[in-house]
Amino acid sequence: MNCQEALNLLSALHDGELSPDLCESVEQHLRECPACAAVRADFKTMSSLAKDLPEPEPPAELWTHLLAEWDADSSAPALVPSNRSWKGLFQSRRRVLATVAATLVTVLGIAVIVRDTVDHGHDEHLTVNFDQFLNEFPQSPKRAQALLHAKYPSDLVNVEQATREVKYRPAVANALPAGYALDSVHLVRMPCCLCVEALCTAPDGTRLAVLEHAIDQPVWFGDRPSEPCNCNGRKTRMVRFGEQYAATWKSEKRFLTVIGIRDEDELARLMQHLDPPEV
Amino acid sequence: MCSVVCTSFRVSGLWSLDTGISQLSHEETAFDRHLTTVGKIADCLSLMTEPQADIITACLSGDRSAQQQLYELHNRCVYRLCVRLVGGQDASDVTQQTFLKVFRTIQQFSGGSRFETWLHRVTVNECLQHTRSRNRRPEVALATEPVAAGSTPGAASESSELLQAALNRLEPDLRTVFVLREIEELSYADLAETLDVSAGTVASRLNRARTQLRELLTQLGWEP
Repeated sequence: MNCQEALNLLSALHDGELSPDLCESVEQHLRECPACAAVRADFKTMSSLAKDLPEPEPPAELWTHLLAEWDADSSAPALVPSNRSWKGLFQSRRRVLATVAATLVTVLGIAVIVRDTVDHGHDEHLTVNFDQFLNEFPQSPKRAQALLHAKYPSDLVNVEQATREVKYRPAVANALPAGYALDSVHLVRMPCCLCVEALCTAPDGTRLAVLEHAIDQPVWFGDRPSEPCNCNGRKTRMVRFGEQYAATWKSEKRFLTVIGIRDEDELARLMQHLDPPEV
Repeated sequence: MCSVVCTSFRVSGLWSLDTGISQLSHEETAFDRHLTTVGKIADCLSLMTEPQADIITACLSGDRSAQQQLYELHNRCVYRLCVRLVGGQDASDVTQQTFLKVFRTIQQFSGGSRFETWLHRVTVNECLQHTRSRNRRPEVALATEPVAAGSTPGAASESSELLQAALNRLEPDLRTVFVLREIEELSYADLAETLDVSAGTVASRLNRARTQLRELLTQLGWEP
């Protein structure tokens, strides 16, 4: 076991969550590696510090404030004596249903306004963040990936874990074209959805990213010009950035975006493997 | 909703949902069936062994004294979690919002998990929502909250203050998993259920949380 492997397991070791075999392998490494042993000792100290944090005392007036807020809250059900049945609240069904309907209409109206406002805000952030990602990607795909992960929570997973989390088999679980290798898979919590983001290495050593997402996201590419094309019989949108391209097409139930391809031929090869046509 | 409620209860010999539904008259409206479901939730809760089952049942009908009892039982835990996740300045507000959410949505607690797990989930969601809205206002970002009156994070001498300062600088998701594990002492299974992620994700987040926290502590001058 090397240091990186041991460091990846130190937290689980600290929590007693490793199998006996794995536990012994990590312990063996720690006996031989003072640097990793120091990290483990620090984890222990941090646990003690966390448990020694002073217990905060809730303000005495908190309940009174809460009660005032609850009473003022029009969405709260009417306060009733505790011996009155729940069913009694709904004896006047017509009146309740009319109130519910009126409330729904109001809430839906507000929701549309809020959604438009929030979506607009999200869109601006997405465009800026993806612009940084696309600008960085040709120089350093890893740095570009790190930029994205700094903006949106992400978890490094394997294909099986990704499948369990997103509840579908990601496209990168399919065999890649000969010479291509899957480097990493992350789950990224984007505003649109939980996105599967994979980094792959092409035969010439360049990297490309594959993103699988629930909703089409032209906003990622801002005002960069896009060109429609028909690749393998599928309507595809290609966007040029620097000397590379990004391409998006609709898979069965989701959208696939490949970033860092050289040309349409490479896209066709990748599409054939990532999203093979149904036989 | 019915199947969720009843299949999720783990009390043997409990009221059979399928039987219950089949006994419903076809003439009954959907509204009647909803009322019956609410009643059955209360019945199921009454069979729970925890004393707080009665309290939760009463809360379903908006009983204020039951709400106060529920608050008394859990306010320290909720407030503590809020202090660690959003900071002392906003903890009271978020605690209040959490309990309002609990009272409004308590019928969504199905009994499939422990009440404490559901409460943790509501609290964490309120804290994350608060953090997101605060992060849109950088002038009040959590990292700027003073560690203690009259001191700055860099000058903090107590290790616990340093830890809180480092926690404030951690990404919200990582801060949450660390606090729930180290302070609230949740198991990996409870963490997975509370955060709605797999146990594998819990493990990887905790490892990242501890690693980054150690780096942040070192930057703040921590000498273990």
